[in-house]
Amino acid sequence: MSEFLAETREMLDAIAGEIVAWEADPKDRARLDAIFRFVHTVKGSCGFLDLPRLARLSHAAEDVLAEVRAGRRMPDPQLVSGVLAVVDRIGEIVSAIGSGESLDDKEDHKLVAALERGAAEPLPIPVASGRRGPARSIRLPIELLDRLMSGVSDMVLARNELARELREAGRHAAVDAAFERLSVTVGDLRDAISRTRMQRLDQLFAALPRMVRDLASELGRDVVLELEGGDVELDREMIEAIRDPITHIIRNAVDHGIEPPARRRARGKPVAGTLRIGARQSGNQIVIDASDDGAGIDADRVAARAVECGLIPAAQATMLSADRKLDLIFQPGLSTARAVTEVSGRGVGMDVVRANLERIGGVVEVHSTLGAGTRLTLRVPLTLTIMPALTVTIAGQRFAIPRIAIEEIVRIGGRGQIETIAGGTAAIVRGRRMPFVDGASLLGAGTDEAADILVVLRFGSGVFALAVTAAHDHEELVVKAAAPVVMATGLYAGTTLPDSGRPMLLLDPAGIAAAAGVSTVAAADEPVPEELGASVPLVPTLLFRDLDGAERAVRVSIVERIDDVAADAVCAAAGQSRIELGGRLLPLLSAAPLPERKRLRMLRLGDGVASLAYAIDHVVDIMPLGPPAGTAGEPGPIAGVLLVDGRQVELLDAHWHFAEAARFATADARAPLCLLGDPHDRWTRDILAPLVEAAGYRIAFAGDPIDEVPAVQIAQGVETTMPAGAPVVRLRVDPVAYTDGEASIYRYDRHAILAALRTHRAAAEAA
Amino acid sequence: MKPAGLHLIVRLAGERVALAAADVDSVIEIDALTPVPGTPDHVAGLAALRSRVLTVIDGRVALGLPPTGVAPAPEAVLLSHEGHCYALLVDAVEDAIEIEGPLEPLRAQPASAWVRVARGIVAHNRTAMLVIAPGPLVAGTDGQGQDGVNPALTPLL
Repeated sequence: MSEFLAETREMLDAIAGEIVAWEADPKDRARLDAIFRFVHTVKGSCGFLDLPRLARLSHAAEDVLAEVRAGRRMPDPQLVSGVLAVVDRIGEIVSAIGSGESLDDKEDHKLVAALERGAAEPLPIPVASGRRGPARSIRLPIELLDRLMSGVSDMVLARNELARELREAGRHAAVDAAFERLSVTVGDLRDAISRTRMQRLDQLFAALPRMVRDLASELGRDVVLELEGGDVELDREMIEAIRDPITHIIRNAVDHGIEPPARRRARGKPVAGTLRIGARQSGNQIVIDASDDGAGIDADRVAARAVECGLIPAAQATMLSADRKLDLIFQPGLSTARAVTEVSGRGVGMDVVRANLERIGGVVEVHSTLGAGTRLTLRVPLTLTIMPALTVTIAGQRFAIPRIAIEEIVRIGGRGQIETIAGGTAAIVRGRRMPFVDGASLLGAGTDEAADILVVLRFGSGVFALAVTAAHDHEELVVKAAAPVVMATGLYAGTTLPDSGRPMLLLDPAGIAAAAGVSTVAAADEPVPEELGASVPLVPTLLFRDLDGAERAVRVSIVERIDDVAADAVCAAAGQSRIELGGRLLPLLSAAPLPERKRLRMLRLGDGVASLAYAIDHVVDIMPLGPPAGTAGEPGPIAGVLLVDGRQVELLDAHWHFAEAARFATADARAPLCLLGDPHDRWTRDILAPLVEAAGYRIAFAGDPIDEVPAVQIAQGVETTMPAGAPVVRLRVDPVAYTDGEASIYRYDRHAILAALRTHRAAAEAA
Repeated sequence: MKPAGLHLIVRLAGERVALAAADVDSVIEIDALTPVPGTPDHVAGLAALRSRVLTVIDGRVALGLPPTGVAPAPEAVLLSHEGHCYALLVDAVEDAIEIEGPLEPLRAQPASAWVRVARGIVAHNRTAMLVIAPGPLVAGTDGQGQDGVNPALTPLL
């Protein structure tokens, strides 16, 4: 019996899309056949199981559909609606049986009667037949899969422990080889079992056509639904977790987004609105876009509502960018819909959508163009159980933080600062002031003086800076729910068991923000105006004379340092310039060609991850300045114009410059290969290799399989094992050169080593 | 009357008490503990058992008594409660015995700390023993509160 119910439910899901497609094109024989098969199967099963009501309904539907199949009756809208109603009722009855409830059967007769009424006009229907092959799948209880998964997890841990023991016990070639084989098998097995948890998004998409059809007819809209990416696979728990948010977004789109046909016509749009749901995999995330070509969201009205509701002060509202205003729709208690409708209520619920997604480590963003449409982008991790995370130390204990919540990591005194205003503490990270949360005191461990790392965490639509003692590795962690008594603290999202074998807690950024009393609005990721007065925030800004003679400015927060560099540190290749600064090869940008000088002045700019060099003529001044008076219309090197003592000074667009530099980095993917010596030599591996890598080379060691000729190789002393074919840079241990033999460089003469590499690199790229 | 069945006898806060075998998964040894800042005091931390993460409960503190003050006991009782695994730190695990007599409601008022966690009482070798329930132990003193009404006591009230 339970199998019948499960099977029927599954068929109902699968058939929902077919029914709508059949309604759109009643001549589609394949759809008709599919629906016929469904009612036929239900009827057959009912006979066995003694379910007279289901049998009566399915029999009636089967009769009508058989007539349509035989061409004796035309599938008019009335007939289609009748069949839909019967299919729906079958679903209701099945649910009622499943939950042991009873369902009134008075309506059944009406449904059956509705099928019989109506004129039956003969209409020839082309004969076609489609038959499905036998399904090569079986049904398994989910508990069994979970047990398999936990068994495999145990195996992986046992393998890791064994690996540790083997390392300590010394090497045995035979044991090592066998262990290696076991290890690979266990890894494959884990991947395979993980995949059993994956389901296609079709599971979710199948129900959407019917839902949109029902919504559209209820609301008097004309909506074309386009689905894409149904073959994308997602953890089944994740599919369940995004079902409600997606449903909600679709309701909103049909109800508030897509205009009624008359209004669309008046606006010169196609009468039928388009709602497009597309899914794709991007790294270990799934990105789901829901876009409509409806009325769009009026950002100013959202902001005005937020002020009315007391969510933000009016002064702040005027400073928000359009995107940030739109973001306010995710604030609890905000409604912009003029009318309360039955379908999506007051338009509340976007806060719930965001909260639901954040609970599973996802994010949601909104973009909208007034009059042209709205796009909501959901990003969720592939599985609930495996989460990319950063491990940090707080007050001597290790914790994990979901990577998706991390915006950046800075050092206090570096790009991060702490300031105390009126007894409260705030962090300033690259010109943005944000709430500061001390990890140690939050976790009741007093204050930790050594906590000088700020992890900037996103939660809701805000950010805050969490002070930690150290940041360690990025890891993929298997996350499990913690016991209720642990979850009740609100600080943790779950527990995980890293390879160390000691349990670790996964911190919940939203929970930490709540526990520390950080409010979303206060944490809004925007320069916040001073509490008193209407003064605009002043940010320390560096003024300089650019190479083209113009006076320009850049925010001090992104300036890492100002360097005077010898002109020969610049190397140009493939139309891009780079400069060697402090042992690193950085992209070099400038407003004009570099002057013919022996020494150049560089601003080194950093975004927390990447750095770039910007060549200037000289520094003019550093002074606190407000936001640009005018903003540049087109994206380009200039963000806008600042007014400084009546002069107009152009402010560099940091984003544009880092984006330019990032294009260099992409070009670096084919960085030249440098072959080093013995990988077991500690000096080569730990001292030389990082230097060479920082200079922009890929590294290979002697004995590594390589399938290209290295651009250069570095040999030590009189090492003769180096293969021929690439120029050799020879290093020596002794500061004093050998009197005989080849030319060599003292191995701690960094400048000479880098200069030699640069020469070879230029030669290789010229070739 | 229905026999109470198999029980695990442990020593907790100096008392011999019984745990129904149905509540107990196994007896394990706990070594390293990961503290969980922010939790009530009776949560001693997290421990790993193969690929499972256990929430370790200090039985004494859960009873509202001061902690034992010594290093975690080597032995702990593995309990499953509402789908989560807990390890209950006890003084010692003594024995597993089949109780012939029935589980009876409390007739005498035991020391107040025990009232909250008692499920009833069983007799073994003419000695009465409290049967303790995992739920209230796991919830700790913050859970039901000292004044909460224990269903096992309703016959007395």
